Amino acid sequence: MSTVQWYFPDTIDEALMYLGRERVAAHGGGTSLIKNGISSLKGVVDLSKLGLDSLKIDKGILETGAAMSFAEVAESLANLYPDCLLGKALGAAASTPLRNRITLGGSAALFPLWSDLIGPMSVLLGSVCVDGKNAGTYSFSAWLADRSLLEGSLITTLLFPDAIDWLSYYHRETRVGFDYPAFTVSILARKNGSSLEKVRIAVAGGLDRVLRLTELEETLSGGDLSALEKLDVKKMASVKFGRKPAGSPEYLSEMAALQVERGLKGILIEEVKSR
Amino acid sequence: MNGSFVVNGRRVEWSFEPEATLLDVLRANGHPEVHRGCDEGSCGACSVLLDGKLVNSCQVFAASAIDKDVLTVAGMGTIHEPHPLQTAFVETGAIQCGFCTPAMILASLALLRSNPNPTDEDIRSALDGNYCRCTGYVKIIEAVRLASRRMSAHD
Amino acid sequence: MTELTIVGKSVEKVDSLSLACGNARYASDCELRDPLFLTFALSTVPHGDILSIDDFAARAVDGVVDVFHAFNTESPLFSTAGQGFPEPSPYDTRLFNRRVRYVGEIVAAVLAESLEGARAGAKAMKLEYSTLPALFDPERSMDSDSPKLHDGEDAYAPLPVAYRPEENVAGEVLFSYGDIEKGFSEADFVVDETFRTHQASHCALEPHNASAYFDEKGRLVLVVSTQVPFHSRRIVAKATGIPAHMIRVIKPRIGGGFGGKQEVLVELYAALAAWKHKRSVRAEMTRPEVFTSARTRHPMRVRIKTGVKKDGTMTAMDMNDVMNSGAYGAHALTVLSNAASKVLPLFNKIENMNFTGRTVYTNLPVGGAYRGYGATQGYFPFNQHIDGISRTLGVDFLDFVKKHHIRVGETSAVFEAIGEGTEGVSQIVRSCKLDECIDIGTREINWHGLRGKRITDGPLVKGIGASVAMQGSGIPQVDMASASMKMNDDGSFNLMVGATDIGTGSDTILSQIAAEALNVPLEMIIVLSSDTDLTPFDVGAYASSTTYVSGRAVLTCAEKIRDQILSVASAMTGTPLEQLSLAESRVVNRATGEETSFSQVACFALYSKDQFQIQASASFTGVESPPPFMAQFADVDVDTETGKVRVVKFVSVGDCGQAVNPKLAEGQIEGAAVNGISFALAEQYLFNKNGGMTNNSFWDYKIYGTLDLPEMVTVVVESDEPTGPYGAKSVSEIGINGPAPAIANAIYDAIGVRIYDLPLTPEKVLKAIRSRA
Repeated sequence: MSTVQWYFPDTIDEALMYLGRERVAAHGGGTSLIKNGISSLKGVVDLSKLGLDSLKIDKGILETGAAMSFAEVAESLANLYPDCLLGKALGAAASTPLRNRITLGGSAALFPLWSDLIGPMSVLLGSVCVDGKNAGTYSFSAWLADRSLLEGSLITTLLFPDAIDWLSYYHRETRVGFDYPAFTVSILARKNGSSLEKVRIAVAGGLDRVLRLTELEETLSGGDLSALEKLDVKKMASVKFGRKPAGSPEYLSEMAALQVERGLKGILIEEVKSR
Repeated sequence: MNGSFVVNGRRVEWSFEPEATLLDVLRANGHPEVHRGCDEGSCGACSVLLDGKLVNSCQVFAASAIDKDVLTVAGMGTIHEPHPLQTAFVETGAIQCGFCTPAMILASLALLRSNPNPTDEDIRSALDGNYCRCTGYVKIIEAVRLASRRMSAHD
Repeated sequence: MTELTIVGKSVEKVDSLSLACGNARYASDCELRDPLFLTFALSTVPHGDILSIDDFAARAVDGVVDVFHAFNTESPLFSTAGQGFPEPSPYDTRLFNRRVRYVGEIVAAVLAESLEGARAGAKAMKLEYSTLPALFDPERSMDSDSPKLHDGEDAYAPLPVAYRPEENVAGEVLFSYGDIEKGFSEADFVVDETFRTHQASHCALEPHNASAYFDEKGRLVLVVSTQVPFHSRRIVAKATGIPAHMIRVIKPRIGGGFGGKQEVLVELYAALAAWKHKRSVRAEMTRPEVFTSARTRHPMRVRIKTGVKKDGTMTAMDMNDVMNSGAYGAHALTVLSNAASKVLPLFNKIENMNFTGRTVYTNLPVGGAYRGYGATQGYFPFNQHIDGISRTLGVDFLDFVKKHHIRVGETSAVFEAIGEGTEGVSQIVRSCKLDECIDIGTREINWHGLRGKRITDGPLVKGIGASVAMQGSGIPQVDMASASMKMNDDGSFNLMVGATDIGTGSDTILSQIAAEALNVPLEMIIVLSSDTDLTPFDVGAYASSTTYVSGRAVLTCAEKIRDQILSVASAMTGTPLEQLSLAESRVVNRATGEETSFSQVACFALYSKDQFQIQASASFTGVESPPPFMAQFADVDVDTETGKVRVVKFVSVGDCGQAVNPKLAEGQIEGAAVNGISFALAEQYLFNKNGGMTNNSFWDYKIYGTLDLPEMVTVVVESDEPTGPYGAKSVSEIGINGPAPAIANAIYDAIGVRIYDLPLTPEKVLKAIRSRA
């Protein structure tokens, strides 16, 4: 007979009380607990009553509740800000029924190698707001670097301080339409006339899990758009991969670089849709 | 543990293990029309509408669905009074072995509720998490088109 | 021919509404009282002898009732292949083998009060193996120094067919016609190419499963997700020792088969467990188990060497096949046979022919029946080879096909030479509209507008390719089907057929045939199928036999019923038989116009005078196997920077004789075609160094979904097959043969490089593109 206890707290404090105990996990509705199993846990805290499911944009800062599903976020953003990188990425992830269950918080807690959130979060300079033992707001890189921050804590919101008014490009490398990505390419850019004011590029899924292509970003930022033609983008966008079913490390590395090049070229001819 | 659900409009009270999925609990309690194809959220054969949203019931803990609304294909219509989607699937020849059918019909319903006049591309996207190995999807997409025409004509 | 009223109409499938409303019941839906649950423990070594089995911990798990394995369960040698008796497949396996031969082989079955308990029990099994060297390369199987998987065991072939386990040969087909060397010497050029097709899983959405229970008299009832209920009963009895007359096998709704369920697997263990404990048992394979421990499509290496004259005459063709059986030999001979017998006759004007085929053992998952059944493996090489030859000659591929393919009135020596375990059967082709199929497809794909043009769009380059195929309609003189009918007092009829509807719609088309013969509306035919207690024999759903073989049995049976109806009507009304005809649901006196309803006839027979039950039965075995024909076309865009191939449009045009139900025929073709496209581009078995499949789940074994679907065009071209029921031939397999070669030919059209092995992954295509330089 299983002894796992389910809790359905009404307040964050109550949720944190349970999460502070040993071998108790949070569940926002996503699939990772089902995949890993809960029989070795003492308790599971259901987060659906905590109200962590709203989205707002204020002065360009996007704030999303951690219990929001990928579908909810993608739909809201598609209506308001169709160019938003986050909306594009989350709306393409997994499949329709899975997007209705995978949550931002669950995804940010684990950041699996195939995550569709990790690349966008990296270039959007997202941060994670946490309550409980390690309460605070953590930049994306700080959060990624220290996995122990999650212990005894609860992700409440994700913040994207600079979420809109970018040209964006998102590519997920898949074998068929419904597939997890072997890698993702996330690009944000701001143009000013014929100059590329600012650009951020991240490749996720390689040996580094997520990598900002800072050298390429610096070379391109502030320069003329025509500079892109002269650069060996493929060389500068080279990222190392392990072997995956989708292809050999060499092939994946080459494809990631190619998609960075294609993304940059594609952005050159785009304009931000005016609101 | 125990939990109460509203399944196809009726409130029920079921007993289940904490690890049980919604799929386990539905099949154990008189809903064999919800099918188990892979148990990992890939094939979509177990799809139901949970509070109106299409989900893979094998990827939902029963505990996490307590007090929620669950719709299976049996709640859409009966053999004596089928739902227009059910009729459309029958008429277009979109059903061969039928194992994917309940889920396909629910996925189509979810689509048509939010998008009553979908393009073919919309239909393909809405059904992207539902495998069919028999039909090649062609007549399934036809069925959704047909149902959407009829259902919007009706309004 | 008289106007058909129901055959040829796209009537709704008789079970469609029940499937749409969730009423239909599959094998694991059948209610069991207080069932036990059965799961499997699988081998973790590719080749080894089991030294010890410690089931102590397993038995100690809460709820575990029993554990079955090699050291406590005897069984004779048998084959799991769902084929007629004696099977053309070797008897090389037991329920539990003491020597295991692949990672994923069933080594134990655990029975428990709960599914969780059974799974925990299976996890707790401890097996010790003494490992043997493993063999993974089928092209090394026959080497003298390679491990021999079944040598020294007592494995044998029940039929007098070639079986040489001492060489790892599980099956062999040798065929020779004319003088091959003379043929080559007469050629102006010789093309010698080697192709390889890959392993695949059927991915029927319903995993293999069986439910066992006892009826009120204590007979064992097996409700099985099977394509072969009658073979299942026989083989369960043989393997478990349960008396066959105590077994009833019922096929309920099936969630797809495609050949994967032409195998007797899960029900063996369910029956064994149920019989021992006299309790009902539920046994279901998990999806990962279906990938590794059920059956697969046999990989094949095909070498074709053809001699060609400048005028296009093919003077000689030498085909050499090595087929990978995996660890056991189910269907080893027969799939290989079809790679020859369904392919070579298509070009029956080749003057000299040689076929050398061997199926060999390896320590890998086991091959079995899979839609196409060897023809798929044979047509991938054949169509590419011919595409290349036609290009060398400077001739259009389709024109070349038209010049060479078999035609009405013609035969091929291959028909007689190659059967399926027995002698083949000579036949002439009586219906063939392949040319019309080609012409329609040519227009639909815009062959002349796009082929060879290599139209580009950024990094994309377009190519057009085609392929042609034939299949068969049942195994001639082997496959038998039977039907029985009785008439009820309201004028309705019960139709009992052994024929196995696995979603294909055979219940419906067989009802259509009966309804047509008796001139009644479809709903007056009440069909019951695939119950070994209640329905007469049928081999089951395979070899594209149902429409043709089961259809003929139904037609003959219905005609007997019709004759009885007319006799009774004659007696009732005192009218000479010659004056009577059937009209809808009634008998008409052509002279007087007097009408007698079927109901009146039935009541008279049942209640009035010289009472008897109007009933009949009929069996049919085909003396020939009329081939359906198909031409398929692919329009692809190849991304020259990534190697990704997108099928933009796929056209299938098929001749299946008179389509009994055009919409169902289309559905068979469409489903087969999408499966074939997915097979060509997305599906593959990946293994680690230990021979363990690493992608045994949908997570990494990718199949096509709605987002991948090309524009599909499907056209059914009707011919008239004089030996078929109402002119029908079968149609369910052939559509899967064309996609891989059509796509490969299209890739060649686009990039000028031929890819010889499947699947056509992006990395492989990119490599091919770069090899041009």
